[in-house]
Amino acid sequence: MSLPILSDINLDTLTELFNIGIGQAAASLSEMINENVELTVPKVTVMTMEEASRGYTEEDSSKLSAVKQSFEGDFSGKALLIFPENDSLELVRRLLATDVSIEELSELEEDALLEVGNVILNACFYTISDILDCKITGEIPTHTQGSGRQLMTEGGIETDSIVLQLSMDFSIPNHNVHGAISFLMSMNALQKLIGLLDQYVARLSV
Amino acid sequence: MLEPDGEEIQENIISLLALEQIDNGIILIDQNRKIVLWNKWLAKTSSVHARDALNKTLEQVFPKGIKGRLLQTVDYALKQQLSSVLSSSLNRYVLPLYKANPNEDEETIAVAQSIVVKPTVDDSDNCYCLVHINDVTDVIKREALLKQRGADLKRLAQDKVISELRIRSIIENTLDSIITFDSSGKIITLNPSTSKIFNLMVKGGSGLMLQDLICELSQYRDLPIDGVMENLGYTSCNVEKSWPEAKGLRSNGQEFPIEISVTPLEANSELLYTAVIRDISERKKSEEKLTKLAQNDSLTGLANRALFYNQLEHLILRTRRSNIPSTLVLIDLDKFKQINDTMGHDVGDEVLKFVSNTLMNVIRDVDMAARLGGDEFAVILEKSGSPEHVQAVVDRIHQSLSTSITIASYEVNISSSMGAVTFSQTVRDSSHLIKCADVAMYYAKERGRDNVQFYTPQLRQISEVKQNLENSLHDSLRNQEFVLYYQPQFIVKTQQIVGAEALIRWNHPKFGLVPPDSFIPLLEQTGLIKQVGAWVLKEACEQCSKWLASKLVSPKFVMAVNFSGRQIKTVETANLINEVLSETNLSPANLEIELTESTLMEGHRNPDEILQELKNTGVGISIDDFGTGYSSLSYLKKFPIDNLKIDKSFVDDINENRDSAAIVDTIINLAQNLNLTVIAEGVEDKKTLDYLAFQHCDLVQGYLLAKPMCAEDFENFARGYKPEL
Repeated sequence: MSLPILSDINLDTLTELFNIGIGQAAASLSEMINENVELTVPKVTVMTMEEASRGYTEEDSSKLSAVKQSFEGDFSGKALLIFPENDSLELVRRLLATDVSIEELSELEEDALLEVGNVILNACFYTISDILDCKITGEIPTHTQGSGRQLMTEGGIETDSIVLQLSMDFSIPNHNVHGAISFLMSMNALQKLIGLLDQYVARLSV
Repeated sequence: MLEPDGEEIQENIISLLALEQIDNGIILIDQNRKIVLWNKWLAKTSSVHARDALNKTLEQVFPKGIKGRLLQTVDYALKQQLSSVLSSSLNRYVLPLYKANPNEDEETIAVAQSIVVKPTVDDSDNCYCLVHINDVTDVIKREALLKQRGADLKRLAQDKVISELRIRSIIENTLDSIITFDSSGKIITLNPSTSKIFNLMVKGGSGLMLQDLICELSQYRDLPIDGVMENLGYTSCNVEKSWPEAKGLRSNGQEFPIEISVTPLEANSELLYTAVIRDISERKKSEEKLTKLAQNDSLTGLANRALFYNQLEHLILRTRRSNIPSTLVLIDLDKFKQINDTMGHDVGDEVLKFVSNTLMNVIRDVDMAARLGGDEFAVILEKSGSPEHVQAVVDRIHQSLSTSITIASYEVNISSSMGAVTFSQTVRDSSHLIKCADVAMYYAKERGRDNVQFYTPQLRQISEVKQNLENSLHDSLRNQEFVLYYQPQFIVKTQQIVGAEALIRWNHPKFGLVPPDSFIPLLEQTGLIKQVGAWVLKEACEQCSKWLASKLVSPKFVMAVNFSGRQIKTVETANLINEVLSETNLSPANLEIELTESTLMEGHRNPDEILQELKNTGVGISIDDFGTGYSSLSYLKKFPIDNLKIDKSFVDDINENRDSAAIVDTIINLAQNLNLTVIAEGVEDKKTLDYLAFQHCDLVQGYLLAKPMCAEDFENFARGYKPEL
């Protein structure tokens, strides 16, 4: 399957958009936990689901933890904020100042992780729809665990989906968490996004 | 906008009713951020009635301020149709909501909230924001509780791990053997010490049975092991009780002492057992050593008194069953005190060691020699055989101890007095047995030492009579059982009565008149002689004084009183004599003290001094039994003596034995030359009297003229007496 090529300028634009979005998310989180939270998206890439899930396996053979939120509208798909399990736990520990293992993660603590993911993902959605002037509806987020493949494929996602992969650094004082945001969408949806980006770039260059 | 039909209205009413009733907060906000739905739960928890909330913004309803995050998510929902969640962990009290406190210490508590904000669109494409508020107060409380429990469980689990590690380490490192086995005895686990103690080659004990390791169990291979162990007491022991002892069996067949304790153990519905086995070889060894120390005489290494008694008791029990006679021998070294006194205790100790070694050499291995203390030894001859054989063995022991050895340049003569008793089924007890042997040994001593006596019932009788006498002697003085008999003394030439010898008699209430030979030694042994002697002196003086006063006897009448060795040992004797004389108003000239030669010579004090003290009282002094003892001519000259009494043994023989006659002649001559009065006692016939008269003997005493008589008889005799001349 040949991947649609995102032009450099489109990639740059997307990276910038995401940086704005999660910059706002960082501000929200900092306010929520009264600590300085910094989020950066250094790289945006497009890859097949196969490549994406393989990437996770190589990177971390242990389980992954993800906040998943479906989106619909001008283009639809699923967005996943993925952390290696230990990093997600570290986040919860930092946020809630507790010490738990993944098995002991309570409903309320899981809620906290869910909210963090929700804040970040919503910020991304908001920025894209706001700046690209399109419509994206976000569903209520859920939390799941599993291998990269499990996370990618569960919930009826087409295996030929394209992955818009954002590697992400999440830093709280004295600790860095490395994660990623995967936007899983159909080729069709991606084409729509590219169209929107082209329009946006065109508008800017007028 | 279409008008709703009746059915729709009905549905809406039902929905509204439901919303009013649910235990969650529901707020519906329209595109203008005005509240269009405010359910009953919210009215209750916020204290804001629906009519005061509707058509107002959230900020207007809660002018004191609400968390910005809620407003932001409402914006997201209304503007971008984004759903949001507000977790209670990160935003617990988003709206100021309160509810009644179940614990009643405060009236109300804040409601912890978990909020979902969701965009919703109606049929006319109007956008709304639904805020759904969940009360998670109880959930938080429950989770806190669960977490606490979880932490407790975790700690417990950790503790368990630690304690298991600890137990493991104890099991691995203890010196005791710890074995788990099933009800057939098959060993399931064993610790390293088990392999070491039992010298096992295989690790883990595959196929090994407990019966292979414990001698006591080896014969019960096919029986249920629990019953056997219970019978042997292995399972009934606890920490307070000492564990039962058993014998362990090493893989090389060697047996060794163990202690064992077994505990049943129900694991996964299977009954298992844990045995703790302790190798007590070392402890046994040191116990034996201690026992040896406690039971053996430190000087000679022979058994001591305690062990001797113990062994004797056991032998008695065995003999009662078997009825095979055994013999007990008591051995007392002759004159051992003298060896200690004259040669020193080191020599004495060497003698004791020599005797011990000799005894050990001369007896069989099965026999036992013990030192009971001092110079007293005992030998137990088990199954000693026929009387002849016993006699031979005992004689051999006696022979081996009758010798002379050289110790530290001293030539030491050793001999012993032995008493033996053979016993069989009818034996009473150890103390009776020892008493019998003691009687025999005492008899051996009486028989002049250095001999062996076997116990007989007759010996026992003699001993018992003696014992009885001894017991009653103590009462006899108080009971006035002693009486004085008087034997007159005559002038040979004129046959006039010139005096009398006071002789003590014991009028025993049961045995009648007991002769002096039987009880004087007892008086001396018991120390009663001092009181009895004083009584004799006083009684004789009183009598003499009475007779003088009544003119029954002539003014020159002399009362002779015997004094024993013990009596004259003290300086008080002279004082006593003076006291009695003055009490009885008797002149010293009327009293004479009779002493034997040996009495005088064996005393520890200087005889010179004693005699001088006595002489100073003014009484006469007579040497009794002259000729049988030292008969030293020098002391006759040196000592202040008045009379010599020729011993009865010479007088008896005068007519038959020329030597005796010669001795009598010499004594008479000697006395006359030294100006001493001579008395012959034991004169029993006329011929003897004639001979003595011929030899110019001064005085005589004897049955021929008068036997000893009680005071009354003496008075009658004296009153009626007329010299035959």
